[in-house]
Amino acid sequence: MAEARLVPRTPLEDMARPGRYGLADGPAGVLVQERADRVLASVIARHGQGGAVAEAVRSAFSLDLPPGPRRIAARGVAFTGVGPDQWLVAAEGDARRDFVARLGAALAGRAAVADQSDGRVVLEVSGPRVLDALAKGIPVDLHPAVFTAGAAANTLVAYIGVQITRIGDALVYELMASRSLAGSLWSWLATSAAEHGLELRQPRRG
Amino acid sequence: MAAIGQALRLSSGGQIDRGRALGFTFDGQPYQGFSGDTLASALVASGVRLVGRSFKYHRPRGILSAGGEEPNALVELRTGARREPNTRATLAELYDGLEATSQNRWPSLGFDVLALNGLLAPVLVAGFYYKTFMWPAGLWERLYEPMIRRAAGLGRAAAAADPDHYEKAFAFCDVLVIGSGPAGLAAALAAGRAGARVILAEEDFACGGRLLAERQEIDGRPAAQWVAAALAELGALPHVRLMPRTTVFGTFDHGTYGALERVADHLPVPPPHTVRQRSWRITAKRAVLAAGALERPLVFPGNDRPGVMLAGAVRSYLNRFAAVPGGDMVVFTCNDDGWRTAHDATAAGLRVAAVIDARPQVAARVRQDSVGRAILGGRVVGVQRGRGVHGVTIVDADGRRATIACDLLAMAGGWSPVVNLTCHLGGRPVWDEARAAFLPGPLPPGMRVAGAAAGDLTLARCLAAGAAAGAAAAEELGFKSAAARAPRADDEPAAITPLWFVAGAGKAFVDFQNDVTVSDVRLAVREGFRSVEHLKRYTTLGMATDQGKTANVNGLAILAEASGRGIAAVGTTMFRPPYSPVAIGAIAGHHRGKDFRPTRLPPSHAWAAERGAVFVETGPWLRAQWYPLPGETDWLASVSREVRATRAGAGVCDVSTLGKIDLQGRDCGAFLDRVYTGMFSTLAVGKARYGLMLREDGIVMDDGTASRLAPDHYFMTTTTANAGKVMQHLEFCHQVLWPALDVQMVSVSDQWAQFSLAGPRTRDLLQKLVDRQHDLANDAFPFMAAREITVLGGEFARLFRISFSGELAYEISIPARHGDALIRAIMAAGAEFGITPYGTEALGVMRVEKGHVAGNELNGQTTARDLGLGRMMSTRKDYIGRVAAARPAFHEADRWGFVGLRPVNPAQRLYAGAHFLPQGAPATEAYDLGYMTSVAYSPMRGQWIGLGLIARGPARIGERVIAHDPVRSGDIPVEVCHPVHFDPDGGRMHG
Repeated sequence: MAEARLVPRTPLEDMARPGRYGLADGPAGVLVQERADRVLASVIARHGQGGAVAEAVRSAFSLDLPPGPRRIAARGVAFTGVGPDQWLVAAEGDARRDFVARLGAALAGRAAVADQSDGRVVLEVSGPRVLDALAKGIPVDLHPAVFTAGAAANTLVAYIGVQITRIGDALVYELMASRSLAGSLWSWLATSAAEHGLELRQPRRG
Repeated sequence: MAAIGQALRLSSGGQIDRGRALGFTFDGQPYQGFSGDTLASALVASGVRLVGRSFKYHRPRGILSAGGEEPNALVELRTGARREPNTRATLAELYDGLEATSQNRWPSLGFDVLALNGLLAPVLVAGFYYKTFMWPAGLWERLYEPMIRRAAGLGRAAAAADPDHYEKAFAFCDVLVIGSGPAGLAAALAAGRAGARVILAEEDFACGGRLLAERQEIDGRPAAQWVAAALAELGALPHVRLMPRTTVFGTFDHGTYGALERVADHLPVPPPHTVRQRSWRITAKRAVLAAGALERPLVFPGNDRPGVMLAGAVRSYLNRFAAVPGGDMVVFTCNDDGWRTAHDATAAGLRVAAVIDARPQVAARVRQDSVGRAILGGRVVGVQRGRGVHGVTIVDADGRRATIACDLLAMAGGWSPVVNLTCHLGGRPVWDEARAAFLPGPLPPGMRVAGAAAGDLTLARCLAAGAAAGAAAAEELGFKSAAARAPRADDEPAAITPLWFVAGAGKAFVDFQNDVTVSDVRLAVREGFRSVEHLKRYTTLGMATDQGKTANVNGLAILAEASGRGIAAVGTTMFRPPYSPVAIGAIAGHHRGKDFRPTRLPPSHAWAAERGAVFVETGPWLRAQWYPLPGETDWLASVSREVRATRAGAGVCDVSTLGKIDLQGRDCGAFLDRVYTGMFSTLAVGKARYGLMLREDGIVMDDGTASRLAPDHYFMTTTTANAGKVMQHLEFCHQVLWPALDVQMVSVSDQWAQFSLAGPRTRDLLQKLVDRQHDLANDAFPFMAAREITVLGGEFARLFRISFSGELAYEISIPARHGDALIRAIMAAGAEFGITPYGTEALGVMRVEKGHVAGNELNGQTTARDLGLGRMMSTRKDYIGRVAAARPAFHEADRWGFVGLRPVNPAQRLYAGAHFLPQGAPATEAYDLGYMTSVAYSPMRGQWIGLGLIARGPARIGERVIAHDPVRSGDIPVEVCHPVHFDPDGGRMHG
């Protein structure tokens, strides 16, 4: 039995230190914060059980799953549609506790649940120039009236598969990619935001 | 050197800022210009006529145009690593400190030795390379090609890497307006006022198009004022984006357009964090093409001399830049527009010596307050020259020759609509006889064409058509456009009777950039090149950086005349993207150097880097190849040490790169039975099994393991290389072949950090990490056990007893956030057992020692039987590839099969790729028996060992053959052996 506990690493922390990048003058145009504080799980409805999953989610989490690529959230739990009868679910704050097990229990027999909490790098991106920076890689129309609060898309950024979600009424976006690609995603984002000045905040840890 | 003054700058007028003087050099000579100038306009104002030498004949050339169509005034801009060849001086925005150099001349622009090529003109005709240098063939590469390349050509690229950054960006809009002349501005205003999201893209740094160059009025005030008001209104609309310095270069599918924004080309060096250029992909629901028209030169002897300029360009230099291209002008025209140049020149104080109009009659309205002599029905047949134009030789309507002194000849051949972007999806332009122009044919979906680009060459019509197009585009998208009054303006006279060429002595140029003359076109016709496409390839008409923007229509017309057909029958070559040159850097954007493609890093990367690991790219991954210790300089020494230490004690390797798939559902067992050759539905919970997947054609696709974690829950691993392909394959099988099966699968490749622990002491090591309640004894956790466990006081993990090395070995998985900590914990716990990290090389050595197949053997040509894995093909069930694998051809006795190889002389090295030959046989394909797929130096055997595929496979074990490698080792006698070179009984693995 070893003495020391395992110290977790966030996907980005070996790639970039918090601080200011690119243009150094004035307020940063783009703000980035790594969100390593979320429990993530993929949910795939079992054959023909899409409706039953929606039913179970309603009763367990009081959420009405919208059709299509949208995110809906309440009380720290967010479901994002990522494919027909498939969702990526995130839990934060108090909702994290035993979340994957609770989710599995709520959907038992109706969906396959797999823990993905460690499989993704999650960057929350905001700031006055966020759309200008994201336009340099996201081939999706992010106009606030088009990509509305809760909109989500699975797309390709700098040859990296990325799920982008607008997580609220404010222009705050969540970029999610495979953990092993955190460095390449960061390289693209830091380069793209350099002319506006980028501030990387301390990561939020679970 | 003192700067040459701006002797030919008007004292007032123009869109330049006389308060902001900018210094620049051309061929080392300092000059001055003003903010608002192009390099070309500043050279004009400074009296510079000669700016380059032509491609083939090295003829002196001057500035022809005032825009992006320029074929002559190509310069090298900047120096050193930023040197940029073939920059159009007419498009280069002047900045302080600009350095430009003329190109294609030696030793100097004024005296060019290769101008002697002009004397060789009789042999440098169309297709000369194909004719002149045919014999002897051997001289082509050594002599002719280098010689031609030195003589002909454009600028020199920089030798150093480009220090600037480029990027790509995406934009979306309702209406994309291409061009900001009268039609484009009117369209953008109409669509923008209606509430549509509008992007207005303009190639120039200033918006306004021809309005910047003309003395016209709109709504009763100078056009420039109307432009400024329109831009101010557009700039105030939040959903309108103005993009100057942006060339839309291509029309692509589904309403997407490619555009190049020259972000910092107008600055000496891009400011920090600013890109040089940005390439845009614009997705537009509707587009209004308002790209205007380009003026055609007239084709007559001497038409390429410095001092011969397009008439519209003369107006641009006078009106927009207040720069005087000459003091004494002759206009040669075949249309009403040429007369405008005479009027504007007179207004600017130039002397107009004569207007020569090829038409016998010209409307009185056009000739009003006529300027100089008007010679109707006349022709220019020659140009008198010294260092510039001295005068022109003309023939009048009665055939009388005369000479008129002048220093500037403005030529007006009519205007060609810029239809290029209408053609990129296959639409062919249509010849319009009345307007003597190709007009847009079938349009790309969602595109409208307005203004001069549609053949409406006059101002009032441009404004009206633009406004209508912008409004209609917005209305189609559901916006309501207010019925606004179109701006008031007059339609200027625009009658034309085209004059395609003037016969006479001396070269009459059709394509200035490629030095194609009238006689080249006629020669091509005489030699049978009647198709316009053949004409282009044979004469090079319309090729190179300007793509014939000023040349094409004249060339086609001459082809039509020479071949006795009409222009409509001859047709035109097709325009393809890009409309104008786009730097490769702008297309690559961010993806240079280490960002060429994304790199995947395994969880132990930072730790491995701290230890000084040498990394290797394996597919998208960067993996540790070996871990040199201080003092080790030879990779083989490091790798052999890692192998020995692993086999003696314990080794650890990051195998997180394996593809990992989580499968859940009632039918997972049945599903796996169908995709693997082996049986998985009978696998016990808590056990793993090696699996082989075949393609439908019976060839092996991938191998890996699947473990059963619960009755309806499996965990599959794939090879690193095929992770994506296998996932795709499984999704296809599930979604298309067997959708009714209750199987849910998802990639969990990045969720888990996975380490392979190999060596006789790994159980001891693991016992220090794994929580006490999990018994790792051999009978409690036997070979191929697979279980969920906890480590280090309750951290969730999975442990698999699987071996690729042939040792007692485990793979341990932990959520990836703990990967870094786990490898450090393994190293700490393993110190007493001699734990040694090993990289991909040692991994490879141990698998070759154990005779395991890997990517080199799973090469897309081998069957399971070929690889000695026939026993893994279940006969109790069906699976993908089973039927095809039974084909007789796959069972022929002399098919290449999998074996081991060792050199007969143990001191000799083996090389992968060597082909096997029978001893004494000649090295020809007829005797080829197969080849060496993998080799390694085996520290355990103390010699090189190999794996290979050889005819008759294992039946040859014990035979000797030659490993033939003419490139590296020559012929090496090898003995065919069993593929397992080390521990053939496998006792170590089960211990």
